[in-house]
Amino acid sequence: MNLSSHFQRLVKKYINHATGRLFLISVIVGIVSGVGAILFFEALGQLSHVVLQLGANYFAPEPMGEMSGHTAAGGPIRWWILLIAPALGGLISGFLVFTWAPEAEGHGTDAMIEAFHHKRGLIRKRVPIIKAIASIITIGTGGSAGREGPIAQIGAGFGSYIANVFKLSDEERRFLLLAGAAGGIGAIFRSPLGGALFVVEVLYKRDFEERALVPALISAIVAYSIFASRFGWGHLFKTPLYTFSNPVELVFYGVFGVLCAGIGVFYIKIFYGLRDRLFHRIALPPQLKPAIGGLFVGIIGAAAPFVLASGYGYLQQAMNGELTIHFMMIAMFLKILTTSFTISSGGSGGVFAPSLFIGGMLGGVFGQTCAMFFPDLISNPTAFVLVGMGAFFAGAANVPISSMIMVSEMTGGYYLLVPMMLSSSTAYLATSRTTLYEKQVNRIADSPAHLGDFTVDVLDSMIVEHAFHPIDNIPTVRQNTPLSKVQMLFSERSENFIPVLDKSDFIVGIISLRNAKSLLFDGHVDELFIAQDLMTPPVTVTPAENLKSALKKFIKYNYSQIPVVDYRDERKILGLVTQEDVIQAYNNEIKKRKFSF
Amino acid sequence: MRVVDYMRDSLILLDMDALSKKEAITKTVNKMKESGAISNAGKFLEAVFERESLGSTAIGRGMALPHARTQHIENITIAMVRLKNGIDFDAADGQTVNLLFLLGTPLKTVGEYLSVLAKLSKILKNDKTRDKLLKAKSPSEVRTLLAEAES
Repeated sequence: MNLSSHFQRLVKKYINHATGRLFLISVIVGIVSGVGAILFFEALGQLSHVVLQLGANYFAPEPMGEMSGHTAAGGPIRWWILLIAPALGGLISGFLVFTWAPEAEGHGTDAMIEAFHHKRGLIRKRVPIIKAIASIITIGTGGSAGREGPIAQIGAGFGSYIANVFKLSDEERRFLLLAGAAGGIGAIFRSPLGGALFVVEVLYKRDFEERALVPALISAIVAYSIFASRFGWGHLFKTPLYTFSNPVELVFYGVFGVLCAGIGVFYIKIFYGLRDRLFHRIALPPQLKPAIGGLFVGIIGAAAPFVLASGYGYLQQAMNGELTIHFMMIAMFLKILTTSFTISSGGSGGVFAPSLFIGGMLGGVFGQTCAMFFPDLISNPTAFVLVGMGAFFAGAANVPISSMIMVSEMTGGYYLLVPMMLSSSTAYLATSRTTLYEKQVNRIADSPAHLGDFTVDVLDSMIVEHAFHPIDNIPTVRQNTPLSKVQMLFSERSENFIPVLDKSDFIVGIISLRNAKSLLFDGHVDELFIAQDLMTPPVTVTPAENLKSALKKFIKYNYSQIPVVDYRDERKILGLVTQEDVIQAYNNEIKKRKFSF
Repeated sequence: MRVVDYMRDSLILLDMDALSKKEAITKTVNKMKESGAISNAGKFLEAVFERESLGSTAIGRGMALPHARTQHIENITIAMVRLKNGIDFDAADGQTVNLLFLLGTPLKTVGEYLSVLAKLSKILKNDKTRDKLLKAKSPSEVRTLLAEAES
C-alpha cells in the first residue's frame, strides 16, 4: 500500500469518527480564526493610523509587543478631530449594525454566550462580518472598546457556519462556536491557553463547559500560530522581571482583590445603568444612538485622549512605573465613562481591553499608595498593575482562571501567578452574582443547552422505589376473574391497567383498557371470557431501576402504568408506577435542587 | 376480517372420533401442527389446557370455544371440529359438546383475537346456524354457512 492511499484511509476513518471529525474541523476553524484575526488587526491598525495619527495627529504610546513603526510627526494634537471622530464612527457603525444585524447590539462576547445557551449555537452568517466592520470603525475612530468581543464573534460565527456545512449536531455546533471564539481571542491577544479557557469559563458564573475545552484548545493553537507567524511570537506587553518572595505581601493582594470587586461592580453599574436609564430611553432610532455615545466619548477624549481606543500603551507605561497616582486615578474613572458611552449606546466592541486598562490603572494606584505607607513591605509597586489587569476582569466577568492565564500570557508575567491567584479569587468571590456578561447563566443546569441531558441526568439518579404506588392501593384480578368483573373494575376505578395474578399471587399478565376495549363495550360478551383471555405478558420494573429506564419502558410499550416487581423474584408484584409518578418525582427533585443552588 | 378468513378447509374436521375433552383437543392440535399452522404442538396444547383449567370454554347448547395464545403460532387460526359423539366439557348447562372451535393466536394480537372470539360466540348464539353446522357435508359448506351468518 502506498503512502497516499494509506493517508486517505486514515482521513476517512477520522472524518467518520465523531471525535476525529471534531478534531479536524477544529483545526479548520482555527485557521479561519487566525486569518480573521490578522485581517481584523491589520484593518483596525490602518484605520487608527489614518484617523487618530494622521487625522488628529495623536500618537498614543504603544505596548512594546505591538509597535506599529509609525512615529509622531510632532506638533499639537488636532483636538477637534478627536472630538468628532468617535461620533462619526458611532454613526457609521450604528447604521451598519442596526440595519443588518440588530441582534448583535453591544459587546460581541455576550452574543456568543447567548448563541450558545439559547440559539443552539446558531449565528447568522452576516453577523460576524457586520460586527467586525462596525467594531473596526468604532475602535479605529477612538471609541473605547476592545478587540476580544468582535474577534470572538468572527471566530464563533465561522465555527457555527462550518458546523452547518458539515451538518453536525447542535452539540457539535456549540463546541465549534466556542472553538472559533477561542481561536480568535487566543490569536489576537497571543494567549492561546487563555483564549481556550476563557470561552469555556465565560458561559457560566460558576461552572465550566469542560467538554468544549479540547476543540477550543486545538483551534486556539492553530489560530495563535498563524497570527504569531505574521506579527511575531513575543508577548503583547513587556514587563519588568517581577518576583514574589514575601508572603506578607499576600495581605495586600487580598485587600486589593476586594477593591477590584468594588470598582468592578461600580463599572458594571455605570455600564448597564447608562444603557438602561439613558440610551434605551432616548426617543431616537437605535441607528443614531452610538453617535450620541460617540459624542460624549469625543468630549472626554478631546481633553484626555489617553482614554480613547484600547489604551494599551498607557498600561505599558503604568507597568514601567512611568505614570503618577493622580494620572492613573483619573484615567481609570474616565475609562469607565468612555467605555460605557461607547458600548452602552449600541456601539461595537469588546469589554475585555477596557477592563484590562481599568484594572491595571487601579493596580497602579493601589501599588504606589501602599508603597508610600509600607515601603519595606511592597517590593514592586508596579506588580499590582499586572495583577490588577487579571483580578479586575476575573471579578467583573466571573472568569477567575482564564483571566489570570490571559494576563500571564499577554505579559509573560508568570512569576506573579500566586498573588494574582489570590486577588482574582477574592475579586471573583466578592462580586458574587454581578457580571459584565449579562447572558452568562449561573450553572450548567441553568443553560437551555443542557436541558436535555440534565432531565435525563435527574431521572438517572432517581429510582422507582421512591415513586411507586404499593399494591395495597391498586386493584388486581385473578386469571379466572370473569370479564364482567374486569369491566366493573375499569368503570369504577381510574386505572387504565389492571395486573393479573395467579393462585400464588404471582403476576402473570396485565390487562390494559386499550386492549380490552373491543370486548368491554360489546353487548354480546358472556362468561366465555376471563382475565386470562384479555391479558398481555407484563412489562415490569424493579424498585432499584432508575426512572430513566422506567420512562423508556413507558415509551417503548406505550403504557402509562407499569407493575413494580421484586428484583429477587420478578413474579412477585409490589405495586404500580405511573407516568404521572415519574413526572411528579422529577418536578420534586428539580425544586429540591433549585433550592440547594 | 371475517371469522371464515381465519379458517382453512384442512382444519374443518367433520365427524371426528373422540371420547374425552383431552382427546378431542389433542387430536385437533395435531391436525393444526400437520397443516403447518403451529410450530410447537406440545406448548400450544399446554396453553389450551391451562386455559381450560381456569374455567371451561363451553358456551352451552353443545358447543365450546377452547382458545389460547402462544408464541408458537404466526397468525390467528381457527379449527372447527364436529364430533360423532358428544363429550363432557364441564359446561354450565350440563350438556355434552359435539361442536368445537379451537382458536390459536399469537401473543401480540390481543385486540384482534378478542374481537374474533366475540364475533364467533355471537354467530353461534343462533340455534339455526348451529343446526346447519351440525348437518353440513363439506368444509366449503361450513365456510359458506359461517360467512352468511356473519353478514
